[in-house]
Amino acid sequence: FRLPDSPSTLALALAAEPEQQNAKQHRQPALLVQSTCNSTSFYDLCIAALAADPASSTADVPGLGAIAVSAAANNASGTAAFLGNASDAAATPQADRALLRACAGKYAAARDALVQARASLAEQAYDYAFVHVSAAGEYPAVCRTLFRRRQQQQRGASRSAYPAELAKREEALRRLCTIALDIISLLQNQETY
Amino acid sequence: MKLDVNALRYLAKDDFRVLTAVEMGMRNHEIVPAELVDRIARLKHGGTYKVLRNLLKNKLVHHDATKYDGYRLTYLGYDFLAIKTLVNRGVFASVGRQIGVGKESDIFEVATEDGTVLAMKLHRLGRTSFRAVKSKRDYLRHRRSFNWLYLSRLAALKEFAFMKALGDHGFPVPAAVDCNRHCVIMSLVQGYPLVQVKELQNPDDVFDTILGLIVRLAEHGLIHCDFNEFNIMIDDDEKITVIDFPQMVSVSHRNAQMFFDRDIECIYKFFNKRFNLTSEKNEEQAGSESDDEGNSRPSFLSVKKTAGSLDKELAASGYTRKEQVEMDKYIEEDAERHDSSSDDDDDDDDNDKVGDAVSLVSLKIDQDDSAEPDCNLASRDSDVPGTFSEENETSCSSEKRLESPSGDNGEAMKPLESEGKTLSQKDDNNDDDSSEDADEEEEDAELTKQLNKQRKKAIAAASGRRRPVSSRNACKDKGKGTMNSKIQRQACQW
Repeated sequence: FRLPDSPSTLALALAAEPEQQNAKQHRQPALLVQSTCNSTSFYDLCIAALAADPASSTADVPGLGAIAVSAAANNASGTAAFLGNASDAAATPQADRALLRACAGKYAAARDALVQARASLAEQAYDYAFVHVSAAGEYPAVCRTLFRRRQQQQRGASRSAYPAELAKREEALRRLCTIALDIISLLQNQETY
Repeated sequence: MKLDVNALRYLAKDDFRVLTAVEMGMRNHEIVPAELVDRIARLKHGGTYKVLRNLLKNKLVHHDATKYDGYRLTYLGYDFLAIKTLVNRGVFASVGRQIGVGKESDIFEVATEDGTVLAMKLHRLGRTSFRAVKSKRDYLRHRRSFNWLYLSRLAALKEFAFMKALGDHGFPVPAAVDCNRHCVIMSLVQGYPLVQVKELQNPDDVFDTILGLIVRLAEHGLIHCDFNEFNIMIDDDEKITVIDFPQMVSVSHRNAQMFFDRDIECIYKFFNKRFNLTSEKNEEQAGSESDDEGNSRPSFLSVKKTAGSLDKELAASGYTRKEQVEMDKYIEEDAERHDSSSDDDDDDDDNDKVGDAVSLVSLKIDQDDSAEPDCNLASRDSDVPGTFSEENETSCSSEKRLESPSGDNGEAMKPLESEGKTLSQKDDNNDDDSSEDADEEEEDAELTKQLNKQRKKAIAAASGRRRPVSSRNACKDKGKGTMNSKIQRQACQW
């Protein structure tokens, strides 16, 4: 079976309509946003993700960290909903529905972990926030494992390969979590000094 | 279960980081692969495995190398995470002695910086569940293994949400202070469990007050479902406090009327037998317990419902229908596992114990799966030999509780510095205890056997002692009181 296609990884990460993306990208990011994103592994994605939230223009580094975590949480939530809808779609084979629901659960768990991370950030518990975001980045891997396990159980052309769309979404979330982790690391370093 | 928070002072940031990583890994794994723990924790300079060994030494994690090198949290590990978070928030500063024990919870005194004493309730769902049969984890077949961390967390969330909502509506419940993971912090309730009280100055007034609470709950859209003398505290001024809400349902539940009537009946029976009320409203036709003769018993159908008010409160607090559904699944799953235990193919000894477990399952089913009440240990009649309260006192150290009035626990605490937070604990000379690296899996198996033996003894004791059964059979659904109290006492000793 196939999952519906979606735009690029950047669009998935931002979870925004193309027109809205263009409008937001024309804004000049704040200097703090630029310097913070310079410390992350995905500068362009970081700029886009933070700039998508108007509050980033006046936020401090902890605030930017919270925005980054929220962006990741929204992304995970969107994928959970996407998979939930896919499992309920009429075109989805009955045998694949449970698999998709299980995957939806993993992204929901990632969202929950990110919500916990945001709460930890609010309490300046950066170590805990870091672990929660790190866990969120790991949860979707279980989904890939489930598909691989299913594939091993099947034979012939009908094997359920890991959908490209799902791989794309997993990568998007991984990158957003990496950005959040990088910003939290900045906070941890500041705390140390 | 003993709670030794002494080790908290020695744990560093990395220890809590790895401990949290294990917790997060358990969302998808019963036993978390060590390499996954390492990936989640991402310690800057490595060292995850070294930290895991330290956590293992302090009994905060359990190691399992059966299929792969893996770890899981112990209850103590989960306790530490919750306590650490709450201490960091400034909710309390020291942990005191245990003051209560239930089937699936433990209660301790804690003290704030200014010396205020509060109660800390640690939910431990699954602690006494039969473990011989384990459901297989298979996502594709919709069967799930319920994570005890998650379920304990749900139970705490539910209790906190209900406590807060009820308190906000003027119901006499402990003040809800804070909640983290499986831990609920609430005000310390002064007084005694009603079950331990032999005399009241104004039994009629107390009776009316309790019935009024049942009715008012229904007016707010809720049925308690387990409203009995074990869940009601009463102080010297005969002020009532409801202390546990394990089974509450909406008035729209299909069995709401039955639950409501059962709650009413339970109170009537207890007051008739314990306090021998003779007022007109308690007079019943010989051999009949119904309201056919037009007496003044509250009627579910006559309750004016203000549906929706508490539901909104609960939704805002975070405990929603989704969480309740999860809890219901656990209850059903637990019952199924008990029912399937007779199919176990273990050796003869295990089969014999399985047989005992089946009996317990039957008893549990008869009680409509209601949770056992928490045991609070203070007693007015501690000097009376052979009484229920004395037995409780012996097993749960209520005498020690009486010797240390509330508010003085801080003086007995030993200071503990933890990342700038002062955390004290009672000095019970545990510093000299050596840690053991015994296989905890074997300990779990041994514990299961012990539990089964204790259950068997409790059943025998219940069937062999006429007077205690009679004195505790204040309510039809509490006919197993003796067995239950035995289990509670044994749990306290454990």
